[in-house]
Amino acid sequence: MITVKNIRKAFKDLVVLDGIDLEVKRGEVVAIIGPSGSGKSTLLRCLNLLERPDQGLIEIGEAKLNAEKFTRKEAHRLRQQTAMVFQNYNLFKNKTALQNITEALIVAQHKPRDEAKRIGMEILKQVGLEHKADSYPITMSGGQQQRIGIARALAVNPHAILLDEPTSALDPELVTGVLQVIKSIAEKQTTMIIVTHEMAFAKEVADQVIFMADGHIIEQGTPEELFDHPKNERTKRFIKQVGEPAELI
Amino acid sequence: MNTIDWEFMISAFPTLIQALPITLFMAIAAMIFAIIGGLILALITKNKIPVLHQLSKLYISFFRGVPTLVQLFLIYYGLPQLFPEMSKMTALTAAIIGLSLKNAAYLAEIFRAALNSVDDGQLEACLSVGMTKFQAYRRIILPQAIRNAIPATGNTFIGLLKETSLAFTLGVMEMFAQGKMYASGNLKYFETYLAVAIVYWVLTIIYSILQDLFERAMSKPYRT
Repeated sequence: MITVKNIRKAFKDLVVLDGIDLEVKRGEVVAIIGPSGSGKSTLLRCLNLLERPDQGLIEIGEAKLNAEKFTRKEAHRLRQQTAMVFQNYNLFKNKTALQNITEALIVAQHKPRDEAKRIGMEILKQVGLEHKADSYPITMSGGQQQRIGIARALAVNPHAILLDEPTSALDPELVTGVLQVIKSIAEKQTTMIIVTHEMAFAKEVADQVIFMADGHIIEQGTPEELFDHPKNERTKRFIKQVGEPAELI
Repeated sequence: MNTIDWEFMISAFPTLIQALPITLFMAIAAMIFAIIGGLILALITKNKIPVLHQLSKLYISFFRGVPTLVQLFLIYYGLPQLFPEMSKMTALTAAIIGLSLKNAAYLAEIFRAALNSVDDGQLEACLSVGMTKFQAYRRIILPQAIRNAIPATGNTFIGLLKETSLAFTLGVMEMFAQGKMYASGNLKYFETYLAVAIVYWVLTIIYSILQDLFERAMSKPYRT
C-alpha cells in the first residue's frame, strides 16, 4: 500500500508538484500520463527521495516519512521499499548484467553470494537474458539493458516498482520486448507505478490511470473511464492529441 | 670538445642504485598520503560540505600556488621555529610531508573531475535499490572514477617521482644527492648526472608500463 498526502515540490520559483494525493493498493498497477513538464517524473522521484519534496507525507509499505523533516535512517528505509527503473537504464557500468542484479542483494541486503547469484540467474531467466549474465552493459542493446534494469529492480523484492518512462529512450523495434516483460511482471500482482507515453500499454496493463498537468492530478480512474470517457476538458484534449490507444501487444 | 667517459658513466650506476630504495620510498609513501588526502579533498568539494569546502579550496589554491622547494623549506627549516618540538623531525619525514601535501592538492582537482565524470544516474540507481550513499561510492562510483583518473594520476606520480630529487636540498641522501656526491669525488659531472637522468627515465618507463597494464584491466567492462 502506498499513501501519499499533499506532496509539494518547487524548483526555485517553479512549482512542479502542487499538492498531490495518491493511493496505490497492493498489487495494483498505476499509470501516470500527461504532457511533458507536468510533474509526472518528479512525483515518481519524490517517492524514493531522489527529489526531496518540500512538503507532504509518504507512506510505502512499512516506511512512513514526513517530507519536511526526516532522518537519514528514515530516508534509507523509505528507499528500501521501492526500486526504480530509469528512462536511460542507469545500469552500473562497471558490473556485468548478473552483478547489476546481485549488487544490492549482497551489499544492501547482506545476502550470501550464492543465494544472490541464484536469485539473479532466476530473474535473468524471467527477462529472457540468462545468456547475457556475464556481459557488460556497454555490449548490450537498449532493450536488453532496460530488461536488466527491470531485473535489478525486481531482485530487491521491493514493495513497489517505480518505472520512469521505461521505453522512451528505446528504438521503436525494441519497445515491445520491454513492454512484454513489464506486462508479465504486472500479471504477477507486482505493485507498480509507471510514468509512460505508451497510451496503449497504459490502457492494457494499468488498473488505474492518472492524468497529470501543471503539477496537479487532473483526472484519475480506470483505463476505460479515462481513455474512453474522460470528464475533464484537459484530459479530453490530451487524449485526442496523443490519439486513441490502439492495440499494442 | 672533450670525450665522454662511457665506462665511468656505467660504473656510476651501482652507486646510484644504492640510493634507489630511499627515492622510491619517498615517492610511494608521499603518493599514498597524497591519494588519501586528495580523495578527502575531492569528496569535500564535490559534496560542497559547508566550511570544509571553503577551507579545502584555500588549501588547494595555496599548495598549487607555491613552489615545491619553498614548501619543503617552509616545513623543514621554517616550522621548527614556531614549534620547537618539530626540530626532531628528520629531513626524510619533512620531504614526505611536503610532497604529500603538495600532491594532494593536485590530485584533489583530478579526483574531483573524475568523480564529476561519473553520471549522476549511477548514484541514483544505487539509492533506488536501497544502497546507502557510502555503499554507492565504494562499489560503483569510485571504481568508475578511478578509471577516469588513472592517466592524470599517473602524470602526477611521475612528477612526484622526479620531485623527490628536491629532497637533497634538505639533506636527504636520495639518488640525486648520491650522484652529486659521486661526481664531486672525481669531477666527472656530465657522466654522473647523465647516469642519474637515465635512472629516473628508466623508472618512469617501468611505471608507464605498469600503469598501462592497470588501465587495461580497469577498462575491461567498457570494451565492446
